[in-house]
Formats: sequence, C-alpha cells, structure tokens
Amino acid sequence: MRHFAYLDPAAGSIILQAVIGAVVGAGYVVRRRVRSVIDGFKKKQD
Amino acid sequence: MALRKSKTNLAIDPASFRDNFGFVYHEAGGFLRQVNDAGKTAYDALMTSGLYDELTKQGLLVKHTELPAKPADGYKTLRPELINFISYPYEWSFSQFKDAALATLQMQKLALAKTMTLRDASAYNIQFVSGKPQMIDTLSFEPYKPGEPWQAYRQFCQHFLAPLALAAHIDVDLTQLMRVYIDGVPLALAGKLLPGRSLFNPGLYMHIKLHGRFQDRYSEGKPTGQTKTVSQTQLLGVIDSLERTVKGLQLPKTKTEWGDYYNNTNYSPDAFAAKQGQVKSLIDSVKPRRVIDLGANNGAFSRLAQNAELVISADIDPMAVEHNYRLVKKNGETNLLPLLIDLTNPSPDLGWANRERPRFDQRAKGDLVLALALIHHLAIGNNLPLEAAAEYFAELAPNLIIEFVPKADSQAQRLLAAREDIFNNYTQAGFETAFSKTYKIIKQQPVKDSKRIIYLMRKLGG
Repeated sequence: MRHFAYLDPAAGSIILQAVIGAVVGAGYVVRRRVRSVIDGFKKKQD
Repeated sequence: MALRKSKTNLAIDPASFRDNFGFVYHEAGGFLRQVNDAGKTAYDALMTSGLYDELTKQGLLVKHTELPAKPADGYKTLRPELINFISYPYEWSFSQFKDAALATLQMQKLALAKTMTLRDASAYNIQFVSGKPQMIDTLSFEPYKPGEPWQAYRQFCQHFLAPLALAAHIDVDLTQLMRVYIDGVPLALAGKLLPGRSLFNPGLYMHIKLHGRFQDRYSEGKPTGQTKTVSQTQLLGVIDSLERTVKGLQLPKTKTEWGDYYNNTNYSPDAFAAKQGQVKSLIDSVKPRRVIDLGANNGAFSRLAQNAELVISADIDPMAVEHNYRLVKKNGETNLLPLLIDLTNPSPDLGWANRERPRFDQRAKGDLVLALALIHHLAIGNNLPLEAAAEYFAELAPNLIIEFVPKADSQAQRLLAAREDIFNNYTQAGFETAFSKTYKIIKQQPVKDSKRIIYLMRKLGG
C-alpha cells in the first residue's frame, strides 16, 4: 500500500476520493444490481 | 531551437519530457516511442493483461508494433500508428471535449476490469483519429494496486470536467481557458465561476466545488501521517459518478453569429449547389491529400474533398464547429476533423519553453487551403491587409481556392453597416494585385447569381 503525504493539492484529491467513494460506491453497487436484474428479466422475456 | 537529445542521442519530441516510463522521439519523418526500464513492468502488464487488445479493438488506444532491436538505454522501442494531425483541447468543440472525457473514463473502467489503472488523465493524450477520440500515450497504464485511489482523478477534473462544466453552465467559449491553464482549469477557480444553481448538481458540487476546497485545505498543511484507501467498488463509484456528471452536461441552446449560417445566406439553393459544383471541380483538379478549410462553418464545403486523407475543417464559431462534429459522428466520416480556430488569433506556441504545444500553423500543413466567404471578414471585419492574408494561407499549403466577396455583396454590406468604409483597396483589382505577390492565379470563375468570384491559385515558386 502506498502512503500519501498530504502536502499538495493532490493530497486533497486523494482524501476526497475516499469520501466520495464511500458516498457513491454503495449507490453504484445498487444501480448495478438493479441493472442486472432488469437485464435478466428482459432475457427471460426474449 | 534544436530538439533535446536523449542519452543515446535520440531527438526527443518537445511534448514528451515528463514521463520516466518512456518518451517519444522523431526518426526519419515519423515517431517512435521508447519504453524505459522504469516502464517495463507497466508496459508488460498492459500487453499481457489483455487491456491493450481490448482498448485497440474498441479504437480507444493507438496501435503500435514493437521493433525487434532493444534500445541502448531502455527496454523496448515501439512504432505507434501515425496520427495525421495533433489537435488540442482548446481547439475542440463541446461535444469533442465531452467525447474525449467519456473515452478517458471508459478506458479507466476497462483498465480496472483488467487490474490495471490509468495513471494520468491528460486531455492532451487524446487525439481525434478517424473522427473518434483515441488515447495516444501507450505508457499511461500501470498495474492497479488494491486500495489505491485514482491518481489521475484531479487531472481528469481539471482537464475535462471543469472546462466542460464552465462551457455548459456559463459560456461555450470558456473551454478556451485550457489555453491559459496548460494543466487544466484550477478547481477552486472553476468552483468560484460556476453559478450557484449549477452546484445543485451533486456531481459538480462534489468533483469541482468540494474538490477545490479539499485541495486548498490540504495544500499547505503538515503531513498528518494518515493514509487513505479506496476500495475498487468505491473507485468504480467515483468513475461512474464522473461519467454520469459528464454525460449530463449539455450546451444551452444558444444562437451564435455563424451557427446557422447556411440557413441564413444570401444564396439561392441553385446558386449554392452551383457553387458547390464549382468548388468540387477545383478541388478535384488539385487532388489534395490534406486540405485545410478555413472559415469552414459546418463543413459543407470541407465535405467536397471526400478523396483527401484529411480535411481540417476550422471555424471561429463554437456552435458551427459543434454542428460540424455532430455531422461527422452522424455520417461516420473518417477524414474530417472539425476544429475551433480563430484565424485572427490562432492557437499559439504554449507550454514549457513555448515548445510543448506547437501553434496551429506549424501543425496545419497541407496541399490545399480553402478560404470561402472568408476574406471580407479578415479584410473588412478585422482590418487585415490582403497581402498578410495571402502570406498566411501560403504558409499552410501551396494551393488556394479562395472566394472574393465584393463590397456590394450583402454579407460585406453587413460588415460595413456600422463602420466607415476605409477599405479603398478592397476591390477585385486590389484583391488580385495583393494576392499576385504570393500566388499565381490559375483559374477564376464567377459564382452564380452573385458578384462573388472563386479563384484557384498556386503559390509562386511552389
């Protein structure tokens, strides 16, 4: 694992990714599940 | 200034100096890419993971062949397929910019699926090849380490998201900020410029406004000793959020000066068709491989050079270039490159030592310049001496098809309506005298139902 020293603007970007990732990551998983269920349902109908 | 040399005396391209994984150098009129020993692991992973095959199959990454000989001070030498014209983000229309952004995110998603990652997200790594965005930096990929954040996240936001958001929410011309900020629009600045209502968009709020604040907050602090990990699901969530934010950005319906030009001309449909026939026949007589259409509007006349390998279809109006690019996509045209170029202030030399991003006329060399319904804008609209226009066109190509628009023409009258007519030399005779200093007039033909004249000229001594 890399360790990042929070000294420059890139450091803020890295921390923010962890914050945003935690917020949107769950939504992403839910959306993917829903999409795969819909795709599966469509396949069944075909 | 001579090109910088590598340890083994290779002439390094001026735009290739940041990456320790390798560099591009000039050889025998073409380009080669050296993979340094430092880039060995990343390059091998790209090739063996299946990512190279996947990306090239989808047209997202430039193809290359490996040369058999090992370089003296490196790992491998690659011969990439030649890109026929290098363009820059400040020369793209909104949709070109957006497609380049989406291609970058698509590459990162494909990379993660192969346990690889995109280690930079520079807009300058994307070029338009056969009408589509393509990554030209083969060494931008490296193995993904679980838990590692996306190192190119900041660069993506600065190079793509911020200029696109400013263009969509304030003014399409703001993509030109990329000329000023060579490493992308600072997020704190973009956050200040974006109107409050735009920040109700969660993607823009997080990736621009909040991002700018986080950058400020951590830019001058002491090392905290903290580490942050981002799971792959979280990372995919961030990429997905960026993708949905970029896809959601749309240009407002604005009416620009030339965005609807061909529905608002002084030609009859017959005269327009006749002019197209004339121009096509002149183009065919030159048989150009590379055409530079200046003042191309939506590319109606650029498309007449259908046998050319490349037609650079340049215009000052962002909506006209946007329309042109949408037609390229709709028709699947592969030889036409719409570009946003202000001829009175074309893209200059930019970047480190003013050599990293060469100016427009240094890159745009062709066999034929088309300058239709343009000269009155330069001469009357911008007080440009006719001789200077001739000299500039001649720097781009040896052949010229140009339309002279006399003062009596309604479009020239529009330009003269609000100003004093100080253009005594702007007559057909004055035009021919001025251009004859640089060109030989080969043919001239009147345009049907108008007082305009189309000329075919060849550069003296060319």
